[in-house]
Amino acid sequence: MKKTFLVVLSLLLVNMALAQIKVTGKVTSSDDGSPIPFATVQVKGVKGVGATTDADGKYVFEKVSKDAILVFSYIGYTTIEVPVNNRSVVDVIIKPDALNLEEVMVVAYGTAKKSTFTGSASTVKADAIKDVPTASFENALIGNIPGLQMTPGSGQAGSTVNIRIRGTGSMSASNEPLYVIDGVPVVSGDATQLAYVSNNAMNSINPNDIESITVLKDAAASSLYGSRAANGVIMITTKSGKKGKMQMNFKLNYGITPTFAFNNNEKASPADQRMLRYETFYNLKIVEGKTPAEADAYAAGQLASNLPVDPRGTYDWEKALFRAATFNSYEVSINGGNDNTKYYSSINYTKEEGRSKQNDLNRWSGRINVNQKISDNVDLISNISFSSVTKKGFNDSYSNGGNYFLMERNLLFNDWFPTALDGSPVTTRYRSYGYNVLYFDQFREMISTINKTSLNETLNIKFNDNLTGKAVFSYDETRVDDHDWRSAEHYEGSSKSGYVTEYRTKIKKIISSNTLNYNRTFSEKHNLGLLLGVEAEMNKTDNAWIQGSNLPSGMKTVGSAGKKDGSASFYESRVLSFISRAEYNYDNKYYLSGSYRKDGSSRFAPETRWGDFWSVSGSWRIKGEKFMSDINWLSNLRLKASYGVNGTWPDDPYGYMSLFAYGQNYNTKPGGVVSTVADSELKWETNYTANFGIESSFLDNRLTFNVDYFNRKSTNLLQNVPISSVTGFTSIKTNVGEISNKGFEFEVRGDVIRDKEVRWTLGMNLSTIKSEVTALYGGNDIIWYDPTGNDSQAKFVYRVGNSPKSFYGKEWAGVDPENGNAMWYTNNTTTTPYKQWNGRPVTTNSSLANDVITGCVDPDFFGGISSSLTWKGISLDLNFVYSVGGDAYNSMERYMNDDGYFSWRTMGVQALDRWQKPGDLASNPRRIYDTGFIGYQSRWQYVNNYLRLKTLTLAYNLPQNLLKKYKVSNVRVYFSGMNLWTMASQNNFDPEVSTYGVNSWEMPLGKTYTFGLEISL
Amino acid sequence: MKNKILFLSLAAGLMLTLTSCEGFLNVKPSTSKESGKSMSTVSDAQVALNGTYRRLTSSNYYGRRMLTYADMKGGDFGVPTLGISDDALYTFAHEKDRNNYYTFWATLYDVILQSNNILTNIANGNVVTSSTAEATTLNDIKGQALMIRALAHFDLCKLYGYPYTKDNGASWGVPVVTTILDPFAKPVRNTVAEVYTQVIQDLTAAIPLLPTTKRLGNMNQWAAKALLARVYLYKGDWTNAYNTAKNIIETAGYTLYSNTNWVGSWAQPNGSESIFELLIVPDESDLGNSSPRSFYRPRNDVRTDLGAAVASDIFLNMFKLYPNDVRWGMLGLDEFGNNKTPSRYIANRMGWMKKFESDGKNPVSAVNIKMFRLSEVYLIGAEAAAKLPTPDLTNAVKWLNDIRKRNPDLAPLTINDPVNTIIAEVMLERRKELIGEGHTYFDILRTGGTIAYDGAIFFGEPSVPANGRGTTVNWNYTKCVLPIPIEEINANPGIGQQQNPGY
Repeated sequence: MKKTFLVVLSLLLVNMALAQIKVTGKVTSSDDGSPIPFATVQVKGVKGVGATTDADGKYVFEKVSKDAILVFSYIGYTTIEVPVNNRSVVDVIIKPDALNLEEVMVVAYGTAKKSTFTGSASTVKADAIKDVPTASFENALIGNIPGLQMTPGSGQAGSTVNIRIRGTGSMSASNEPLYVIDGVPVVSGDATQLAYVSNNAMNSINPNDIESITVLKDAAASSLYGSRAANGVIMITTKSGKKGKMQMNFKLNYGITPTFAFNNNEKASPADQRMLRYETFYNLKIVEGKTPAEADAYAAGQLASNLPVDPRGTYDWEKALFRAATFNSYEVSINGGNDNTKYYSSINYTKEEGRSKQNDLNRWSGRINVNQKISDNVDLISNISFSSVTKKGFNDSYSNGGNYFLMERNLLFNDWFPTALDGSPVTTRYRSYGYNVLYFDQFREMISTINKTSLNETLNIKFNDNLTGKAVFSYDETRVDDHDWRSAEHYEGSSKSGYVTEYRTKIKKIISSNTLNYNRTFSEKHNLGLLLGVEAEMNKTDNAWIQGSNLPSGMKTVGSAGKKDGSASFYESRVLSFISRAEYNYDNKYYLSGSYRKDGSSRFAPETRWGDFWSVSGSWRIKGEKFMSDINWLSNLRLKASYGVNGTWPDDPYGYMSLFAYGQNYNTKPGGVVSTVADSELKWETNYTANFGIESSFLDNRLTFNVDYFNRKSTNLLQNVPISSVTGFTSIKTNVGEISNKGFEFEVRGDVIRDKEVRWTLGMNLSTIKSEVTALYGGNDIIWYDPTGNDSQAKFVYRVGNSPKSFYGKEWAGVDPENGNAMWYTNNTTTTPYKQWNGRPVTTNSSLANDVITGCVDPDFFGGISSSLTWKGISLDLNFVYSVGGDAYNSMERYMNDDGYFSWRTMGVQALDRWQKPGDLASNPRRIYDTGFIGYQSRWQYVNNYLRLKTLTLAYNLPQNLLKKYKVSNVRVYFSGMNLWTMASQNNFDPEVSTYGVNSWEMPLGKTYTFGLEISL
Repeated sequence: MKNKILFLSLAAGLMLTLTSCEGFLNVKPSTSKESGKSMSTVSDAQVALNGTYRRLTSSNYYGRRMLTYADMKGGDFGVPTLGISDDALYTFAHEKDRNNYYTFWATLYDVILQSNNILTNIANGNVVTSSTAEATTLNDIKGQALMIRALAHFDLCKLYGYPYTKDNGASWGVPVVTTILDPFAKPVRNTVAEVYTQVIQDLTAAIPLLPTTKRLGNMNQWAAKALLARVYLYKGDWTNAYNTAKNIIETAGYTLYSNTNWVGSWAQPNGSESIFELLIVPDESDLGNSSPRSFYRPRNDVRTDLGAAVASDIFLNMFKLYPNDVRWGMLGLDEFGNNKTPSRYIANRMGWMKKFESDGKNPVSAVNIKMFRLSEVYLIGAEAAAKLPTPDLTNAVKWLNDIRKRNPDLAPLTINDPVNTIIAEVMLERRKELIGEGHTYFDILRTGGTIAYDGAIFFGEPSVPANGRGTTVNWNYTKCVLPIPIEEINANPGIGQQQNPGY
């Protein structure tokens, strides 16, 4: 009896004490009821107990407490907690994480959950990146990241782009953000030594290898990168292997760019060109007092001798020089793994042609990312990649002989044929600087090859549950081989009897970064994280070039040349850093974070080389508060704020040294000159950034609204301050100025339609940035010029109280209807006015008019609009970019609408609107062959508002049931277009102008149509 | 325990790396030195001097533009059409902010900086000499630096200041710089007289330091004297000009080209007349398509020739009646005369000036600039002799005839010819002989003369409207000198108060 009782009691006790039951269940998606395989199920509070769902979404727990709480999580879905409540079957439906709150994003030195991150950052995922029809992934960022402005350097395939995050904070140091790949900074920007041809180092990265891109915008997000992060950080994470069966992916892409995306100062018709020329000469004679008959004879004579009518008609140079460019890309990738080893590997070939027949780009790239567990506590991640990019291009600056776009648009009249009447090619120069490039192209080559090898080894060590260490070693070697050949037959090669120049550049970047991470939870609610680290970075660039001149015919090598010349040099820069960060949160509701970084750079004198960079930030998840829990229409509400300091160093690695430079030889003996005078107290440029943000979402995450306010103050800006040339120098670089950038970033996104079959999401982001020069030491204006291509196509001024990108020049008043004279507002009281115009004094002599600020590049607001529509397997994504309120300077018009100074250049259609007789109201003055004013003036400045459909993608995923039969896991076909539709406030030039707001002679953008096929096995 | 040790050693390692590596951050440039530490031996000073000479070869100075300036403005050349290089020099279309030829200002002061760098380092005793031979070399270097500094100041004064002889040097010249200025200095203009004083002082100090040996590519004592004679001539100091020129003519040992080898002298470097030639070396200072050769070559000939100036009818008329003048040898058929563009044919027009065509190097554009030659010294001597308070007509006529005989059809002048005729013939001979060498404009201007432009009229119409300038220029035309450039005024407002009138 007692025994039985004891047994029963013990059983009862056991039952009660352990109260363990077997629980099974199925996890499905709320979207379509489909099972979720490989979801993680854990028991809350119990370590080491967990399960994963199988391919049918089913899980089993043999023994689990009946009061246990099960935690279900899966990537892309919101984690939920469900109490067992003594049930033996617990089925769970999990919802897709529309807000990506659970999403883990890669941030500085680690990862953070989007929902709790205190800094300001935006992310773009692989899906948005992989379909870009260009070699470089950067096009995926346009319009998607609030606060980020991206301008193309040129439409040539392979060109570098310019990116600005939250405005322009620097005058002469770089404004480009820092690029970080898999945790380490990398070589970015233009890597070639060829003048005025850019070969973007980012072309080396295969866009399909990218898992996500995070853009860090404020100090809290980026100050851990301290000295280079003042302009923001673009963090790229490459794909890594996933546990599971090996998956193979094939992708094919074919695209075509048949036309430019917009007008580009279209030429007037051949007949109109002749008429404009005629008028120029005719009017000259009339002004000189000749009779109309004499003037006509003179003008006709000029035309007859310089622009004779060709009996064959007119020649279409545009068709001859530009083509429908194609884009091809082929890719194979595999990924897979088990508990110990995960891998991702890819190989890709891409060919991108530019519209000019002299421009194309080829890339081979391969990568293997392996994540290998070495022991229970140690794992090694090895990311190795190699790529070779070869770009054929031409000079993008205002170079009369070398720029094909300039040649076609401004120097080749349609009356000139490439062959003489007898069929032989024309080999002499046409008037002005026009050449028959169809003949000469066979005598030139301009090729740049970038070979990039990248090794990134990361060792993760888990000391105990709280302490982990990470040691990163990265080796990034970029080798650039440039080849520039002109035979003696080419007009650019004749003076040297043919030349070939080989440039060899090696850029090495070695980084060692070692960090310790301590995380601990106290009393369940206090969570503390500490980071400490040390980093060293070494950069060395070796440059060499050799040139052979006097080449035998048909030879293109230095070895065959009669005369050889060359040079080599190198430069280095190094950084040592100490990094630290502390993060604290209470109950996942209140977050506080602080970071401190000390950087020492070799670019400054020992006294000023150490910089301190820090930040503090916090956030409050209001929705987590008890008093908010009943407000069901509000799904999320979070406030965040941050303040911090970042720095920028000068571009010049030896900027603080006054130098005596060698290489100024005389009579073949070595010579040197005092070349620069420097400020030995050169300091870091410092950025102070404050950021406030509100994140909110409503109606079950159906509507999201985020707003950020930022205030970025850049001080101690480096600038070449003009000094009296009597000193022997024209400028000295010193820390002179302050610029402030402040504004708002708004982001709205909503699911207009959201049901089982159809989803339509609309999103819009809007940024306004007010940029202002707040101080210039000495208070003096600094005049500067557009540095692109070294052409000075536009003139700017830094003046306190105005935007740093303020156009500076004469203020155009218009044309006098009485006599066709050009008029400028005098903007002074010293010049005797020619007359009053619109109530203000004007003059017809431009030198008597003062330069004033005529406009500003910064838009009032800009951003993107996106629409994403999915129905069953079909998806349609539209991405618009827009900009309202900025000005642009169309410097091409200086040469194509110049009233007569350039005697033999083709004019644009806008030149047709000119004054011809008294009473005419025209925008252009009377044409006359004289030294008219073609300098910087607001005549060629336009308001640049635009809305452009940047990308459009229509994709179809074949239905699963069809594919299962063939053991194929996914097939996707898509059509994608770029720059398909544009609306702009002016009609003459592509509104996506350079970062300096200037439309100049770089190749314009084209409209691209791409078709693609993606198969996953 | 194992983990703890691991952790501690790693932490220690982290701290250690940071503190021990301060030296890691010191890097040095690969092709430069810090300028304060760059001159301690004589060989360093020589390197700096070589760099200074190299600066002289800039296309903005004696590489091209200092020569073409005087010839484009002198009336002996004309521009065949608007819109080619440097036509603003011909049309005088200068404003302080447009066509202001700021590069003259910047380049010449750069040259002055380089010479001051050498002189200051020597004066401060930074340069160590270890033997008397080295000390002599150092003096030689010092002398050359002084002469280059004088040359640059003199040229600046010619470009920006009214002629000394106009008002005895009272008008604004340029800032005189004899030390290394602080980068933020804002110097103001000295008077023309003050500049001349410094120039003469520098040359006088340089002369005893320089050797008298003839050498190619480096200035010697005779070059310094030749420049000094030129300076005195421009100053109107006839006595000193005469004495200096006489000293060179009679004792230096250079010889004039004979009529048979005059033409050939331009095709070779280092002729018997060359007192100093600025070396233009292939792959070094050779300007290629921007060289004086390309500047003058008719532009319908080879694709990169500029054909920016052709000899004017005024100039050609000086030779028209004298087919045996050896100087015809330097003229060739220009773009009109060579009939390569039939619609613009003018028979036998020899407007192509070929002094820079080649001196035997490859590429042919690498032609030495013959900056000081004996013919100029003869003409300086002749002019000064005729203008002495008591004219020495014997020498005036002798020296003039030695040059003038290059036109064998002219009867030589004698001491019985009127002084004014002799002087006029000297000036005419200067134009004929020294065309293309950077003298014409300054010669007419400094003697108070009038430069006439024939308007570059071809085919009955001027190629170039030059309405701003008018048809003649003399030293009363305010724009006969360049404006102080706006780039300088922006950085140095004080000098803006001293702007040349008319700008």
